[in-house]
Amino acid sequence: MSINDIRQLVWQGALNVQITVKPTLLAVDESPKDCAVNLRIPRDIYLTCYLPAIINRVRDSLRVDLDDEEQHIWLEFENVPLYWNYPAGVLYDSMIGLNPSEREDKDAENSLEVWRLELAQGPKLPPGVIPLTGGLQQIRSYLMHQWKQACFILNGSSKQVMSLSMQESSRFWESVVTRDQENFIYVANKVIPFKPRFIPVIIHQTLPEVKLFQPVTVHSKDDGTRTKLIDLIQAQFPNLFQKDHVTLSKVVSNGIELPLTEDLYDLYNRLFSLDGFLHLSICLITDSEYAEEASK
Amino acid sequence: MISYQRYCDQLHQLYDSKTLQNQIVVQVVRLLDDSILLQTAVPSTAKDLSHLELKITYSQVYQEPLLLLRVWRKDQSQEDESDFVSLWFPQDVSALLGIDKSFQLELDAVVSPTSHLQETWYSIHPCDTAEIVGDQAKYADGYLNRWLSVFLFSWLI
Repeated sequence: MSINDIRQLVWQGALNVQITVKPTLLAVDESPKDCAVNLRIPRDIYLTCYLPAIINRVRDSLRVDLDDEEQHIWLEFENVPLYWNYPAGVLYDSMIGLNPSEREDKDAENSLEVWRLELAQGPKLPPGVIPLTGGLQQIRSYLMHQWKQACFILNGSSKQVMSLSMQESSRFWESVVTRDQENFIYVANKVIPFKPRFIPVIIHQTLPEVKLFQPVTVHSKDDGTRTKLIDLIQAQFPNLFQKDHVTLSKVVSNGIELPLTEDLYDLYNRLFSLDGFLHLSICLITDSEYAEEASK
Repeated sequence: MISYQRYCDQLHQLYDSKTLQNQIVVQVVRLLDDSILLQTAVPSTAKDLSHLELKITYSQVYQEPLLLLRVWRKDQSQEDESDFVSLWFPQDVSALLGIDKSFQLELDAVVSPTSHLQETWYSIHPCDTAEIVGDQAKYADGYLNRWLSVFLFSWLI
């Protein structure tokens, strides 16, 4: 399978999402199930791009005003607030690591896997959640901000992003929203070099609490050999990934469990997200996976 | 560009010199390992505000000092005269605080290198810092002070 085939599969990855509203926000006589919104959304997009449409669907069932400027809106999964500034698929991969055994049972009962989220509102945002004050323009601006960072990490300068024409910047944002992979790759290829200075990586760990790691990750080690995923992971989490030990964790990106022996920059080139970073989620293995590993 | 070690050295020198503590707008100064937290009064044009929370820290990505900012306003929901305040994220914070538009000040998710938790701050994008501050060797010893005069004192004092 060519790199373009893999990128296309990643680009087309999607999630079934059901969004209900916190019962405390609902009007009397409304039940969360009655005003549930079902969506099939790309993995590689910000969930907040869908907020205006979701709000429009549920507005009439609420006893609160979602346009109140003194209030904030956010999404939660099992009462854990979601950071909208990471792609939806990354949040999903990280969050389903919360209770994998329990989830495995539920999955067996349901043929269709649905990620169930809740819409929440309050005067104070949960810590770390970026307030949405500027609509889609803010999301676009945040995306370009991330690409400037990714570009700096890759090339030692943000010039490749800063020198994009207005037309190219617009084309890039449009490509994300309209899911036009050709235009997305056209611009991304202007930024991503053959041999990078460092590799833009963000690691998401959910247990025991949501933590994020942005390690300085070299393309090649001092001895000239290229960095593998296991080099990064063992350096960052020496207790979780010990040599010659059965591990309770796995590394997931775009829903795929990654072999630890893979070359890191090859993984980046295949699996980088819409923000120019390779997102890796540290997930717990399920009971059955553990039993299989232990029996080897 | 400044190395992390040189930045830490200059940060501690800055704290010891009391340059920040002696500014009339500065209310609280706290030195952490590799950052300084500040609480300051607000520019006179922003009368509904209570105070600003600022953090001078280091960007490992850009290898530059990084200024983070949060706005606290007087709590308008309180009808009594108590000093309730709340965090506020205005849309155009540059205009509110009179910060020159040439600084790219945006809401950002900042991951603490020690706690690994995500925090929400306005940050001034540091990608042009070296050109603005001056990257020549003769400025290396005073890099953080030069940065401070441009990125903080130019609009706060």
